[in-house]
Amino acid sequence: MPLIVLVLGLQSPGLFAADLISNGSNETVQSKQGLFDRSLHQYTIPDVLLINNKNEKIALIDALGGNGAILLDFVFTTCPSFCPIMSAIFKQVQNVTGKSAANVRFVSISIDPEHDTPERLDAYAKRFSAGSDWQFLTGSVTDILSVQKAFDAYRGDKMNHQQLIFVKPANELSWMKINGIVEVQEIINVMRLHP
Amino acid sequence: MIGAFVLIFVFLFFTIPGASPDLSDQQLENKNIGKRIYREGIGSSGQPVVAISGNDVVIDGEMVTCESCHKRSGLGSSESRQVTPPVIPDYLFKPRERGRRGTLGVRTQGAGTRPSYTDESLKAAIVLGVDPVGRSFNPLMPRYHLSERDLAGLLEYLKSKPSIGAPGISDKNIHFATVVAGDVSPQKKKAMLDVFQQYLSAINTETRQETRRAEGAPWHRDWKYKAYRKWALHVWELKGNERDWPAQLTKYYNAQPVFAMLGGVGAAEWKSVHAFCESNEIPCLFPHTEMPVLKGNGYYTLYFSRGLALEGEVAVKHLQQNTPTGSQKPNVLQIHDCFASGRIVAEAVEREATYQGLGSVTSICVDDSSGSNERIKMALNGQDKPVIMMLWLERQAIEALSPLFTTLNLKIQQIYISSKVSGTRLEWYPSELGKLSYVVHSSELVGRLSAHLMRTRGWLQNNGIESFDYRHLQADTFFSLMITRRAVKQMREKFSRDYFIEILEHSTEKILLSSVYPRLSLGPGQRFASKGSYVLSMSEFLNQQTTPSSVSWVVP
Repeated sequence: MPLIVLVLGLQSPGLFAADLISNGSNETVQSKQGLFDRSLHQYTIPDVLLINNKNEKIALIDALGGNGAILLDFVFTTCPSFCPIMSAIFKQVQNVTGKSAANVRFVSISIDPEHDTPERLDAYAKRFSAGSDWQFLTGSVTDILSVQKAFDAYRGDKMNHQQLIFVKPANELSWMKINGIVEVQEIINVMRLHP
Repeated sequence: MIGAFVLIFVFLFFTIPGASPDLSDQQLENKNIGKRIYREGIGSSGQPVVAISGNDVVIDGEMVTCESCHKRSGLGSSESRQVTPPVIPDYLFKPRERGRRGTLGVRTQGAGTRPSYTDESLKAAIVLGVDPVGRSFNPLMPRYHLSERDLAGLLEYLKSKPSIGAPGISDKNIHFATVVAGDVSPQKKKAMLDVFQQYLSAINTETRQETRRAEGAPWHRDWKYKAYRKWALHVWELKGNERDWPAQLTKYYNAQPVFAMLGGVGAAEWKSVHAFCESNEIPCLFPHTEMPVLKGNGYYTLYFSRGLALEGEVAVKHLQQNTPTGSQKPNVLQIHDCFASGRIVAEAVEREATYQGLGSVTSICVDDSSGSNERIKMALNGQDKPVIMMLWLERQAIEALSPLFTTLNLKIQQIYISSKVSGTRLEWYPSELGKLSYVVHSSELVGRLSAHLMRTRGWLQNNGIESFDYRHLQADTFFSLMITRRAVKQMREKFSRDYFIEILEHSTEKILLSSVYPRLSLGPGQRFASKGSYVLSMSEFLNQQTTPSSVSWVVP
């Protein structure tokens, strides 16, 4: 009996960060440092051609397709607070996944495409020592808008954007949408333990 | 007796703050250390400072700085629903209370209250992320691992941030200036100044008796009413050689300092005015110029667009986007006027072509000299490869050159022209060139411009000052006034030029007023509001009323 309890405890995301998790596909999680929402969704990826920080044309369906795990967020290079924190989280997750040789891709899409040229995105990437499996994408205003709307991330003015991280673990169809202040460990938990 | 005086003097010399040269140097050094941490995220070791956000998110000074969120003004900011509080002395070193002032309902304890910070509690805030009563901050606020030296520096810098107040603000007035730089026609000057005169007249009308309200504001509304100031405008006319303009601007400013400079019009480059604004830290908003300052770390000047240079940059970008990867580099030949606006466009093409790796560009300048045509013939004669032509010329020059292209049997693949250089009415454009030509056009399309300027034109017409010839200038001026009014209202009594700039960065995208430029938007550190340009085929340009808005919009 004690062994079973121990195994169940280890599988619970609550062991690392959450003190309270409600049932159902939409959860509000009270972590030790704040609140974040997480919910499961399936998204239709728009068929758009974007440009990455190396000036390469990238089909978004390719960037977000396949069976490997993906972390996605929406940033802009002059963002004051949310984006640097989310990118720092990505970097730390990248450090962990790099060591485990997991097939994880990181995608950050600019919501200020007219200012965020590939060159500016590359300079932003360097601030976070982004590895080669982390792409920063920009594109036309119309295409970027369609991508934001596809992920229900569009909030009008860029300064109204939310702190959103989307996680799709390997071999999963659904995305976990995380909105709020989240720990690095929580992201790693979601990637490993997504039902 | 003398010995006693000496002893007293020595005692005082080493105990009065600042009396010792070493102490003063130390304070200055600390401030500089703190300033670098606050603005750049670099500690006294020369390395980025390190912090933890939340429970386990490691960040460093290269990723985010204090200034990112608390801003250069120190007055804080907001992003979505997250509010970053101020860190100026007026805020940190006073207790925070809740409730109605002057009533028994004022709370000094409980949620939303705290005592004043001390040095020790401020250090705890930075290192441990707690307020003076031990409550934890929002987890987004990083907890910094700083040495004692760096902490002392940061505290010194925060204490040195100025209180609210700025030049150009008196008890009664907020002073603005506008610039008329160089040889500007009287009609053009009048068109701009009419807008200022009518707008300020309306602002200062006091339909709600704002001055009386400010003077007799009830205690629970003084935060709102006491901020009211009448607007005063000073017209600074710059005459003679451009080299003399800085001295003229300084003289004007010394006679009456202004809070900000609005709009402005000039016949030449804007760099002198730009340099003055930067060195005096004066916000200078949206001048009507096609030659903004493109390089350097300008902070206080906001522009509508990159002007003539943008035309060249967009042409190169459009060409690059339409050149298949791996194909031969295009053979670009540009012809521009030697001394006027076309030269600016051509220089931008050369820079951008190098930057984009498009290879070299052949540039020929034309003037009124007799040898000009011969130079063009010589340059064009050897062209046996297909040519991408860029004509940064006015109408007369294009009409004169067009037969030459036919005579020389040039293999022209494409032609780029600019509506800023060649004009916005292109019905005269040679038809044999038209089918190959693209027009770079950074204003809103004609079909949409009327709608964009409806409110502006309505205001101009109602005030009887609309100038058909200078509609663009008047629209620019009206926009700068409207956005200033919005920002001044939001600023309230927190008169700070840095805060004013931060409000403008945050709010330009939100303003409901349009201008001749499409897609105006700023953000932290951004200084050019409209970042791209349309590129239309000649057919699309000549039929703008029906050209869809999905026509090519290029951002270099």
